[in-house]
Amino acid sequence: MLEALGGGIALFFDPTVLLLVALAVPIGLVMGVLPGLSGLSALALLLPFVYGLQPMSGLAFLLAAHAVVSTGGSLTAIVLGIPGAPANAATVIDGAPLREQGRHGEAIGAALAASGLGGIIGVVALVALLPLLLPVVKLFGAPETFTLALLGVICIAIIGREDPLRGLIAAALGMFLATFGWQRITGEPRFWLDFDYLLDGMRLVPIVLGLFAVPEVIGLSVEAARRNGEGRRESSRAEVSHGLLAPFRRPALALRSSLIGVLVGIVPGVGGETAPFLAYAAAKKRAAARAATGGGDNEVFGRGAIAGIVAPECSNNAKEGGALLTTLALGLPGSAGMAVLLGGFLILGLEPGPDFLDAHMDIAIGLAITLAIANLLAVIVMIACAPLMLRVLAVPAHFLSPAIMVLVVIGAYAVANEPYDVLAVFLFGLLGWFMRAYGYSRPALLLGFILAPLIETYLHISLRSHGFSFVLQPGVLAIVAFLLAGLFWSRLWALLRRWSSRSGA
Amino acid sequence: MKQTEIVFLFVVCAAAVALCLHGWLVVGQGPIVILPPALIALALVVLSAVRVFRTLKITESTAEGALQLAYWQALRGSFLGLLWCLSAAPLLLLLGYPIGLAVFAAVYTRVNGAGAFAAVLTGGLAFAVVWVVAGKLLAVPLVLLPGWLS
Repeated sequence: MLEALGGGIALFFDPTVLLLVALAVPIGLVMGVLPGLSGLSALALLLPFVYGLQPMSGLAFLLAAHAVVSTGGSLTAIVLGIPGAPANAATVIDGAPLREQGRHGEAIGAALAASGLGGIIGVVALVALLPLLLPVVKLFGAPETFTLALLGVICIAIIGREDPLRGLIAAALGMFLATFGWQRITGEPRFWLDFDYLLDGMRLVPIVLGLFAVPEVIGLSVEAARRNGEGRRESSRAEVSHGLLAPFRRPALALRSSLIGVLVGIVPGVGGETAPFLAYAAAKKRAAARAATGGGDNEVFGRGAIAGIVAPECSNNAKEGGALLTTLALGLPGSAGMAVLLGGFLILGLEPGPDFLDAHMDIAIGLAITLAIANLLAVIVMIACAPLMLRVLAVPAHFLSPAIMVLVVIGAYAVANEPYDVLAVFLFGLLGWFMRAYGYSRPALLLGFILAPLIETYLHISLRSHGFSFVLQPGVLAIVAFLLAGLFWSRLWALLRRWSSRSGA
Repeated sequence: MKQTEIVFLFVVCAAAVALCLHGWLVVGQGPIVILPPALIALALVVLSAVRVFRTLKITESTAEGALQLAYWQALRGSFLGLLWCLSAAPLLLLLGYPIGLAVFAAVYTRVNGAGAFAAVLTGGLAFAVVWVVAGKLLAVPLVLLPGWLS
């Protein structure tokens, strides 16, 4: 472990990695500030540019940009009352009243410090839990990996959506798209229809750009048109500095909210919007309990409470640490953004799954350090450039959207100098727009696409080595039980509470 | 709007099933190659069928929804209906005809002395016209059949 720690530190302090992280943080912050674009869009847009990079450099670039999006989004949530990223929706509840009271500078400071602190707590949790998971993943063979990947896709498709059926359809479609091209086991091409482009299968980058970037760019135009005419407010450095101390004056709240974020992040498939709302609800409940006993600082949640900014902002940055844990250790992304990051693994020649942690613990540690440094850097950049960031909002959408679309087309074409990739971006853009409009889970489709080859290969190996009896392996049964318990934990919890209340009565 | 989703699901399922059948019957791929995608395609068909049924069930209270549900139940109960759902017919109608005729129109005009731009324009026009017609044809079982059934 110490060797991996040293390796991780050495990997991170490579000049290329440092330069890429320094470049990625402002990009992620700008993406966060712009309503309509999210961390997913940032990852989708940056994904084509990691080709040819070293694995650590490419992953650090993607992770740094993704991790700081919600930090940038908090600014828009407070100043405009619109969540810059979906994860900032809970910040608006108290951010908007604070702006009305003229305390937006203090709120921005609190949000930035809470984001940085939450990010660091998330990384501490990640580094503490990684060594605990290492012996577990070392026990994984082909049957366990197959079960984990297949059930992971199913769980992610089901959890966190209004309609689980649509999530499952999206996941099945993603898995089907992954079957195009050369099959890994026999080397025979599938579904290529005498069309050379399909021989190598569907390419990941056009799919990611089409599904996540194109619909978001359209969304950006719509959002920008909606907020047209809204003014922005300046805030003084002194107010921001005062706000920066807010999470440190409430250490218990910051720690509790961050831990909620980490836990939500660990559960695969639960959306990034859940953690801030849970943390906000927990903080509100605790404040009400303290007020009832005569304690607390007399802040009323929903009417401009600084604690109402600290809680969601701590949790939405801390959740990335938890989400990265399952992504690195099990190959199961804890959030939609992590699903795109898994795509980055494939592009950089790394195979996600339980074997990754065993073989590349140094990269895992390096990514944890990246997450921590990116969060700190984001706070510094935001304090220094908040007024400049707000000016980005003034750029008309009819300039911004085409510029991003040009980036999308260049990114798609540059990967393999293949014109059909550009066509594929627009076809998948159409599919992405449709999925967004009808509530089909795009991350589920992507995850199905990424994990399908792994599922097929490990199914083949499992059948060869154990026959159909592989489903009765203890590890397989344990994973099934664990994931089913995770899937139905709320019902189980309700049953347990009912049972305990009956036995108590 | 709901019909768009239903048509989308039909097209996706039909394309998946058609590709698997093509791989198995035309290319002659073995079970190890074709079985995994075939199982995924089967899952897609089953899940989409449940989704369509639920969508129609929700709109049962409207006159149009009730008719569509009746149609769907009739489809579910007949072998020919099942074949329609599983066949590549919706895909051929939606994509095959417009693309095929557009290419034919473009090549025909080019061979007969038209310039490249004019040929592409003719092909595009043919595609647009046939796309609209094919869309209407595709809607036939969803729109007209419930009327006949009622």
